[in-house]
Amino acid sequence: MKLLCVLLLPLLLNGCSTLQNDQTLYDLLGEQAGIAKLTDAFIEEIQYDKQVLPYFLDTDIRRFRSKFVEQICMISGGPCEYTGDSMEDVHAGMKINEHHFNALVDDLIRAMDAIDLPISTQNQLLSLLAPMRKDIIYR
Amino acid sequence: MKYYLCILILFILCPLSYAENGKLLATSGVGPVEGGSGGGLIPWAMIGGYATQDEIGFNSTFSEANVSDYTLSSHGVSAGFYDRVEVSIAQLRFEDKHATYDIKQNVLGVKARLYGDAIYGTYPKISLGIQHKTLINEATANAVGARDSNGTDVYLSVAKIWLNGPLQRTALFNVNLRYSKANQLGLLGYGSADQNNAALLVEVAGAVFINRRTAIGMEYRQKPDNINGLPEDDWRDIFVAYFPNKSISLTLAYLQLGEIATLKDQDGYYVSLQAAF
Repeated sequence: MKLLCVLLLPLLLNGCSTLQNDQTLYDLLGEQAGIAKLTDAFIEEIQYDKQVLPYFLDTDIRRFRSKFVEQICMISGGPCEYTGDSMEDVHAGMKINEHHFNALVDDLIRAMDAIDLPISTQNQLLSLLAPMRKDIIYR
Repeated sequence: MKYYLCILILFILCPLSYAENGKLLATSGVGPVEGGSGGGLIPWAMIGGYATQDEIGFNSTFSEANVSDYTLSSHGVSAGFYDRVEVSIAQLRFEDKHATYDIKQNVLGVKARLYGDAIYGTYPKISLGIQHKTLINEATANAVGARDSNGTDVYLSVAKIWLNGPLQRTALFNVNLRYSKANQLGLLGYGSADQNNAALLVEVAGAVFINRRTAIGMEYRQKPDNINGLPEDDWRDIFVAYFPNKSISLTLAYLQLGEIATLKDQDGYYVSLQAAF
């Protein structure tokens, strides 16, 4: 019996670590359905954000929704390809300043809180999005 | 204590919309004892307040340290211009519980961000700061053998924030190199008859955000040793900082200040309240 335990233990532990390693951010976000839920929560936060909303007045929200889902799916390691325009092109001429960019980050954080994403998952997503800032602000 | 209450009430009642709150929560740091922005015992590279590169922001800080034989209280205000330059004034009051010392000191600080962005940059944020300190009552400094009652510290500060740091928590690391000949922050004057050279001193702070509003961390501040017979120890603290919103932060710390003016093992607590507007 003892021997069995000893034999099983590494298998179990290995199982644990494999499980963790295999969990991509895409899985942690709840795959396609979870990302769609996050995107809807994000759009809802933007709707109530007087500072950010003006930048979205000319936006086709349905297109934004589908491209945002695609993008999050792709950068989180999911089976998607982002088919939208580059971040630079999308934000060209919008003159988004640092204040409004950070207000949008706050909206995303509120959306992630609203759907109860753990802080560790939130931080992983934020750190993947952070490098895009330079293509978004002051354009 | 009256001050704390006034400010607290003011900021709960007053319209918070004054606040230039373009930066992310907690990126303003908290209020260090010498004024400006940083941790509790040392300044950090960040420009205080929540003003972004297009804005101006203001901060007000009240803090009190209470260790075995002394109290050190500080109040100050600072202004951050365009996330580039910070100007701060603070008054420190250092009292001995045995009623030997009652020392007041003014600190004028200027800090300029030379380079970088702590969160979004590949490289860390680098700032250069000066603190000009003047004793209001210099009797104690003279009595212990300090050479000057005022002096200027210069420091280079480097900070980096990782959104997805260790244990997938947001983390901050800050290192300062300070050039100073201050005795106990200059509260006991600058230099001495035997020692008139400034020393290069290292200061370190690290913090981890256990959630968006609460950070835990530690700080270390190396101190010079200028006066014969009055050795100084390096200072340490561990702290918890709470940021309920962008208008206010509360910091609690446990201090280990070592020997101060012959009295050993000065341990105690530190509380600091900072308001941004």
